[in-house]
Amino acid sequence: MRISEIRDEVSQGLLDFAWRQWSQIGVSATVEETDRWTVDPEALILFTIGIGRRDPRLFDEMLDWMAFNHELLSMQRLRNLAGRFPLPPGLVAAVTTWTRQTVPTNLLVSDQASPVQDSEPVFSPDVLAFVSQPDPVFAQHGFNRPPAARTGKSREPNPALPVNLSFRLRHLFGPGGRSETMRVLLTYSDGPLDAARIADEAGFAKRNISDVLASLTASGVIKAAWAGNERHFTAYRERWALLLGLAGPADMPSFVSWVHLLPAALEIIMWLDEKADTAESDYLIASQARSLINRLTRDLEAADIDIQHQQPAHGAAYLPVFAEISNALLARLRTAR
Amino acid sequence: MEITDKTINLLLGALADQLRVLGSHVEIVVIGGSALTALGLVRRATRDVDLLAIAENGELHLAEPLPQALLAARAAVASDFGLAENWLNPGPVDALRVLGVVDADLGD
Repeated sequence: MRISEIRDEVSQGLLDFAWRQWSQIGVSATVEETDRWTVDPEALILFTIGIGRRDPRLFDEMLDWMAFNHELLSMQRLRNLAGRFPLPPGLVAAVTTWTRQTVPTNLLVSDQASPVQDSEPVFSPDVLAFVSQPDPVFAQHGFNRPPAARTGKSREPNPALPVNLSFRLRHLFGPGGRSETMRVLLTYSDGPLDAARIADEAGFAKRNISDVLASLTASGVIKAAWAGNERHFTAYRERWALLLGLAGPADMPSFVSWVHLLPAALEIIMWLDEKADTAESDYLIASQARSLINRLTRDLEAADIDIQHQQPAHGAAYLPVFAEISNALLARLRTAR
Repeated sequence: MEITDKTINLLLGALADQLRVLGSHVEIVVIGGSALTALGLVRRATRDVDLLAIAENGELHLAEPLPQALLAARAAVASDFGLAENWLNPGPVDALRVLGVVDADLGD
């Protein structure tokens, strides 16, 4: 399989995944499938800032959703997680600045700005080749795109859908360490977790999450047990299922390590973009693919993608293995429906 | 992967590819069993490739220490083909130094 073919397949798979997530949390789109997991809103935004560069409509629906649902988001967490994603910091800053603008109901287009020299295009030239008038907010951050306008189609996340458990918890606790800690503990069904792992998944400093865990334990909504010299934490999932109106703990949305899976997915598609038209030998491409996967091993394994299981392959023979890993990643994003 | 008459050219070609990516060009002088293997004179597998000297800018010098680019390329090839980290090494240089051979002698 050629690299350009793998790129096209991964690109389409990641876009389909993104549209499916956004459609379930309130973006207007004709995707009817529902997932059994819960979304990680900030990780999804950062992922979409990257993957949406090849789909302006997705990018702009994300902006609209962020502007409409900004009270459900944690900008602190977005900043904390941004460094894990292969994204230009200026583009993340442009998105957050744009969505902070107060554009109430009249759906104003951003004020026009003069064309900016040496700015980086937000969108791939394959999908948007020419920008006659740049958006001023993005231009301030060194990025070039047409003026961004609210589409006005976004809705609040529907609390009845499993993917929106994150938002139910944010309504309950506010967006921050508590709601993220509870999201992790309620969805993770493979046993107790320590503070470091919870903090890693929650996207906040371990110190802050340790404080949250101490207060949640004191309130009696989670339990703590010592394992060696570490405390491990579990949620009372049955009681929480009752509170959330679920039939039982088995109905709780499933856990996915989005903070590891989505940056890795973005790294892979960006690498594929870079290599799709290269004239390098099959061996060199395979060698670089191996280095990429070695670098992403921890993230992929945290997201339950078993890359050690793949057969050892020498030299250029690693390319089919890389294609298998890409397929496994796409399959992970298709499961738990 | 074993280093044999069937694989040694593949490995050295991969090494050249990696050096090219690093923007480096290195010519190497190989001796011993691996040299005979590369020439197709013996068919047995060899454990490593023995480097005696390196040519840079038309001048030969002893292969120790290995240039940084060659070390990086060697590591990449080792990872790609499941070889020992020092599959390519300047082992014979020590023996020459014991005999009092220095860089200047290689030019003769």
